[in-house]
Amino acid sequence: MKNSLIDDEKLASHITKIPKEITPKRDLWAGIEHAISNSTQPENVQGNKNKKKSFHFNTPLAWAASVIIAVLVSWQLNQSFSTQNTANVVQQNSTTPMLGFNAVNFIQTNFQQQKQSLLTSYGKPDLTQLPLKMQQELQQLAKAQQSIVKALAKEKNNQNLLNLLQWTQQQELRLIEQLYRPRWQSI
Amino acid sequence: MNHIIKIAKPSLAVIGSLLALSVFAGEKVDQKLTVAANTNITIENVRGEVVIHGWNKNEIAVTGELDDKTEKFIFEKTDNGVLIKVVTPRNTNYGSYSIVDEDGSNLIINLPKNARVNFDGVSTNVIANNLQHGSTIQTVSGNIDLTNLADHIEISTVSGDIKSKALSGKISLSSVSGEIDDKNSQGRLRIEAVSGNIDSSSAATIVTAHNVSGEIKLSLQQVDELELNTVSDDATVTLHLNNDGVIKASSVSGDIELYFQNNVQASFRLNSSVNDDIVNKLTNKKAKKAKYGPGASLNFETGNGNGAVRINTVSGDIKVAKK
Repeated sequence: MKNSLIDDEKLASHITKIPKEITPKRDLWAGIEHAISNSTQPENVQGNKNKKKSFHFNTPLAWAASVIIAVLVSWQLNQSFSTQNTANVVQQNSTTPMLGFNAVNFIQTNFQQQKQSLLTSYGKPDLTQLPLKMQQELQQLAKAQQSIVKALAKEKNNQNLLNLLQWTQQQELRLIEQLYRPRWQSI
Repeated sequence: MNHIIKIAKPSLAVIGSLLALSVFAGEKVDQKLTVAANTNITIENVRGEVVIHGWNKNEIAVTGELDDKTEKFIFEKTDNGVLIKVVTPRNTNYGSYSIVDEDGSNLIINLPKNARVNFDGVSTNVIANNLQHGSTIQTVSGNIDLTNLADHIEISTVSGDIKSKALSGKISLSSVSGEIDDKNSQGRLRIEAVSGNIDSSSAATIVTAHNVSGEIKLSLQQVDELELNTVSDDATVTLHLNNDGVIKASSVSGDIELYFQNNVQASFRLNSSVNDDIVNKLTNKKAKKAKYGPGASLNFETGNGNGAVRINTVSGDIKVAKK
């Protein structure tokens, strides 16, 4: 421990004797500046060249990349757009017929409900007990409705056919009303 | 039903009642009642034949013979006009709807021509003429023969035929299986049938004709609007389409033929879904067949094209030509 302390003291005294700055034996700054100025230009040139090279080298890549990205993005957008459009078209195509079919179904269902409630209001009469001629008329109307529904399967949104269908249904309801009016029900 | 209630409670229903008579079945009737010129008259008769004639007197006169099964004959003023009713048993079997029973009433009813008439019957033939203030006539199997009726006219029968002459006003003629034959009507005409044929020569400017399996034949004059619908039978119309006139016609399998005046001015849009038989005799333009699938369409214009003719069919033929 003691030795080490002495050594430390010696070391400290030596350190204090050491000059704080070491000056080179000759002035190197001129050489350094020269070296810097000479070396920076070629470096810059080289750097520029490299940059240019890299620029020239990278530009097509960048363009290609950007073009590819643009293409990809636009393709993707188109894809999604067209998918969306297709989806819309599909949806439209699927909904339009559905609307058509739903309209027909709705009209049919509505008519059946009206007919049933009408017949119920007349005590659910047996239609087969009607005179043959009237039965034939009801059959005629039913047949007409079938042919219109069949035509509507091909032209789902044909308003004229939908109107015709509703008209024939109204005629059937009207005929039932005429045949089973309470006033004449007992006849 | 209201009438039945009113019959059941005559003391409440009758205002200034003059007659409420019970007559024996099959007996002759000859009764009169003074009324206002424009009174409402309700006539009910189940079977037989009733002639209704409008005259210039403010009086109703009923003559003829009552139904063999008459229980009661009502001829009286009510809260809302006058009721003429031949009451027969409710359980009477009147047989087929297509037969007008010879044992039914046979009545002639003269009434003010400006009265509003409402007739209800089952197998009663009705002959009505010179009624100027509106008439509603309904039968099931009876035939209806009309002359010189005006105002709001609503006529319907199930299996009976309708013959009309010189009707004017807002006219509705409807039969299910019976034929409809209309002559010289004017105003606004609506004709409907299911299997019966429709034949009209009319000066009505607004016309609607619907049929399911019966034929439609219309001979029209100056037309502003025509709506034509048929399911399986044909429709043939001759007309003069007025400026800005509109025609809408459609069919499922029935053919549609329209014959116009020489200088018809309209845009035409004709369309067939399945058939490609669209004949145009008005111009040289031919129908175009559908690019995909069956069907054809034809669009063209004549003159200044201010009218509109739209014809749609599923499988019928379409023809437009000059008269």
